[in-house]
Parts: sequence; structure tokens; C-alpha cells
Amino acid sequence: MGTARSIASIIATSVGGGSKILAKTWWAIRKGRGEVKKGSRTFYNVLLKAGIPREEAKEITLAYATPAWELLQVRSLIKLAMEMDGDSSIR
Amino acid sequence: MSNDQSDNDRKEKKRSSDMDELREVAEVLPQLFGALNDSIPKLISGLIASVYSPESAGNMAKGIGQFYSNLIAEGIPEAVALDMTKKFVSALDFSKLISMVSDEASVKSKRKVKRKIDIDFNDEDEDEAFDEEFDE
Repeated sequence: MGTARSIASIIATSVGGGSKILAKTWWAIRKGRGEVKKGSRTFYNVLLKAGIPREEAKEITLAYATPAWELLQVRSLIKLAMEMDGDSSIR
Repeated sequence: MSNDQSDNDRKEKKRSSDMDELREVAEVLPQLFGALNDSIPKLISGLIASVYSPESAGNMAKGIGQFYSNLIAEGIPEAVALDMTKKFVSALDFSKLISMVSDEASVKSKRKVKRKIDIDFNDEDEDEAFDEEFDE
């Protein structure tokens, strides 16, 4: 393989692979949000069944769901990745 | 004349080593992207499923509901029981739970890197390997 062909292959792989990662991450985030919604709904229903009033059940469910919802923002995922990278470079 | 030839040889060698390097990168890059493609979505869905799957959510809510029902059954007034339940839930601190799970995930990936780098320098690694064997 010549130099030009190697460079072209690296560029093509980077563009293709990067796009694939982006799409897969976006899809995983979407699925994650769906999971959080389902989990929160179950959580809320179980709380209601246990006799907790609607308002309080709602408050508790929000307290339960908010951290995951925040984690599933692209920005916080980038932050998480940066923290992981920072930690490994220190050690 | 011989100097020119040795310069040419050196340049030729450098060029061929650069080409080899580029070829290696081009060969390894798809594997790297393949590994990232697998691990990133798994990390995200694993992180969420561990705390927010309908089963774990139901179990957690059952625990909270049980706590509230027990308080009511013990004769504690509803308003006080609700207040105590809220305090109980705030003590659970779900954001901490999530950060604990994500820390655990990052520690696992770090362990793999760390093991490659300082396996001879750290006695803690032996303990980790021991722990991991028993975790599995």
C-alpha cells in the first residue's frame, strides 16, 4: 500500500468510524432516555400503589429520574469521558 | 559522492519507515473504531440499566413504599410519615448512586490500562486481581 493510499484509508476510516460512533452513541442515549422514562413510570406507579399521595410520589420520582436525565445529556457524557481521560493520565 | 549516497539511503530508510507506520495505523484504525463502537453504547446502556431498568426501579420504589407503609402501620400520622419518607429518599441520593456506578465503570476501564502499565510496581494490583477473581 502506498503512502497516499494509506493516508486516504486513514481519513476514510476516521470519517466513517467517527460517524458510526456518533450515531451509535446518539442511539444509546435515546434508548437510555427511554429506559429512564419506563423506569420512572414503574417507580411512580409502585409508589402510588404503596399509598403515597400523587404529589409526593411525583416529587420522589423526579428526584429519582433527574440525575440520569442529566447524565444522558451529550455534554455530561463528554465531561465524563474527559474526567476518565484526566484520571488515567494522572496515574 | 559517498556522502550523497548515504544521505539518499537515510532518506529512503526514513520514507520506508514512515510508510510502514502509516500502513500500521491504517490497519489498526478499523479495529480501534470497532472496539469503541462496541464499548461506548454498552457503557451507556449498562450504566442506565443498572439503576433505571423497570425491575430495579420497581424494587427501589417497593422499598420506599414499604418504608412508608410500615410507618403508617406503626401509627405514625400521615404527614409525619410522608416527611420521613421524603427524608429517607433524599438520604438515598440518586445522583450519588449514579456517580458511584459511573465511577465504578471508569475504574474498571482504568484497571485494564493500569494493569498494563505498572503491574510490577504496585502491590495493590495483586489485591485487585484477588478481588476480581472473587467478584467473578
